[in-house]
Amino acid sequence: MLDLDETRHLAELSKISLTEAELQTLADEMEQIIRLMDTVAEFQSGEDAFAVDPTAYEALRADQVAASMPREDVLSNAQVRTDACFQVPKVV
Amino acid sequence: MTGFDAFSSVAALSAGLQSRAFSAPELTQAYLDRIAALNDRLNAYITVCADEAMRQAEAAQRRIDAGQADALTGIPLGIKDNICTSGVRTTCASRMLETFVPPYDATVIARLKAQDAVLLGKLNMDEFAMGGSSQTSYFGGVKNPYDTSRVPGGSSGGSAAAVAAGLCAASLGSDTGGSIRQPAAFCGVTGLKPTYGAVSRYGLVAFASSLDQIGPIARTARDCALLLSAVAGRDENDGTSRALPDVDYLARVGMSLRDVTIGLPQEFFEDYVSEEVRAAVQAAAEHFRSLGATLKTVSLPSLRYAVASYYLISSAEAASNLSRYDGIKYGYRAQTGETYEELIKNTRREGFGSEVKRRIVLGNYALSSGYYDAYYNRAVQIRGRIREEYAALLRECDCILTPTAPTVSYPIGQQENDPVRMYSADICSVTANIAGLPALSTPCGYNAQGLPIGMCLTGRAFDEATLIALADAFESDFSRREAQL
Repeated sequence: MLDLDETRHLAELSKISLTEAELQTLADEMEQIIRLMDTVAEFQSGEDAFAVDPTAYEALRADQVAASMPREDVLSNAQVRTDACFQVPKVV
Repeated sequence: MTGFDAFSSVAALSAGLQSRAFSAPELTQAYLDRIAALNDRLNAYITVCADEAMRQAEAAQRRIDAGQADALTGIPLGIKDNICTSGVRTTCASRMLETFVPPYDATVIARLKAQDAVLLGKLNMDEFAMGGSSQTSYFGGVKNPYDTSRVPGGSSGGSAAAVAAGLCAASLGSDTGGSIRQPAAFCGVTGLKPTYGAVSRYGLVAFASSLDQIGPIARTARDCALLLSAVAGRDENDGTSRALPDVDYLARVGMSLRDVTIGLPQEFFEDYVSEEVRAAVQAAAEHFRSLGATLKTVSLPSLRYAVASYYLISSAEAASNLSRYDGIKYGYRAQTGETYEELIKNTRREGFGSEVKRRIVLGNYALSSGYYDAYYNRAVQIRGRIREEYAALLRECDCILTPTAPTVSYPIGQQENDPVRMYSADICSVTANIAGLPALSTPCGYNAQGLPIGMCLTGRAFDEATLIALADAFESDFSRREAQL
């Protein structure tokens, strides 16, 4: 079962900041949810088990240069921008 | 406006437009008037596009007058708010996308516009399509037109409620684990999840890419066929979409049921299904028998693993798909965060609701080192087994008949805050997504309180035409009761 440290690690992997109280609530909820997910442990996979890939491509389109979306359209939903760039906090 | 009935089928409305009983602008205005009068009671629409809809209606009328109308020309439709519409905000019912205005149309929208269909607006839903109640929306929950103290189902709850209440002639929803069929059942309308690959997902905000499909919700199976015909087929922007030349989804309507075998998997009729739902679906099966079909009790043994398999796969894919929401390129951006990492974490903390956060965390748990083999890998092996079991069943049966959901609609607040209870309630619907098969829900009865009960027909891949024909045969004899608002 998940303890608080593991839940904190998962929140970190998920890039979601949570308070200690929220982490405790999430840990409690995840314990119940993972108990339900543990149903899969009863599955006897056997030698014939296989994984399917339903997203296998039907056909790829030709690898040709084509017009992309106009830059202004791409930038139109950014909350913060500088000139023709997305703006992010300083990283170095 | 004479000759207008908000509870008309798409086919009847189209006939009214052709016969000049009413014009496309008159028809659109009539639906906009109903939305203005009734949407506050249902909260089905997040965004209403009145001006744009009227412009589209005028263009549609010019096309009708020129004698060049298609099946959906001038028909007022609603669109689930996770399908991108150029210039019209697409929120996914999330704070994260509250102000997001796509600069492009989803392929399904482009195809509806090519017929000069009228798009009335964007329909409410569970946030990022994660839920079965339509109560996790950032814009407030949707109410069921049959009883506004109850949920409409989800995640396409706005799409189903709007059709049931006559706030659009038909709608598009999306279905990852039952999100078209279950709300259709709760709201007494017909919903079709197409075969995986039948409809392009380009422009559908991604939740679980190996399971998501866009599909129609309408008043009849025939209307579902009209919408599916308009949007289905190969799209070079979605590599998983299939070429479906010359498919006629109405081709089998009217067929004899004498050579049809309908399978009833015993695992779908056990005690977790309420007595009233079980009785209604069994009565529907007997009706199919009276029409000439052969009923056969069959088995899908791996159903017991389906909910866990579904939630592990869909949450793993959601964790990946939703990693794009970082507050930088589009969507909500937190006001605090000195570093890049802090900004992203604060953005996701403030922008996502609690159910979305749970799914992302569950997905990362299933994919993380030490748990991958025990959870994710096993879940995809179960997917393979369920596909095999369905393939065997559909060699001996033409389709499978089950309840769409274990119960009818329940009171708002009763179970939406209990994730395990909510997840477990998806047991009747997730296997069609896991197996990639088409599945159609249509009403088969009402309980003592007058709440709709849905049955689900699941068929062979790309054989939607058989499901539509069977549902149409049933609907022809079924006494529908409209929602009283």
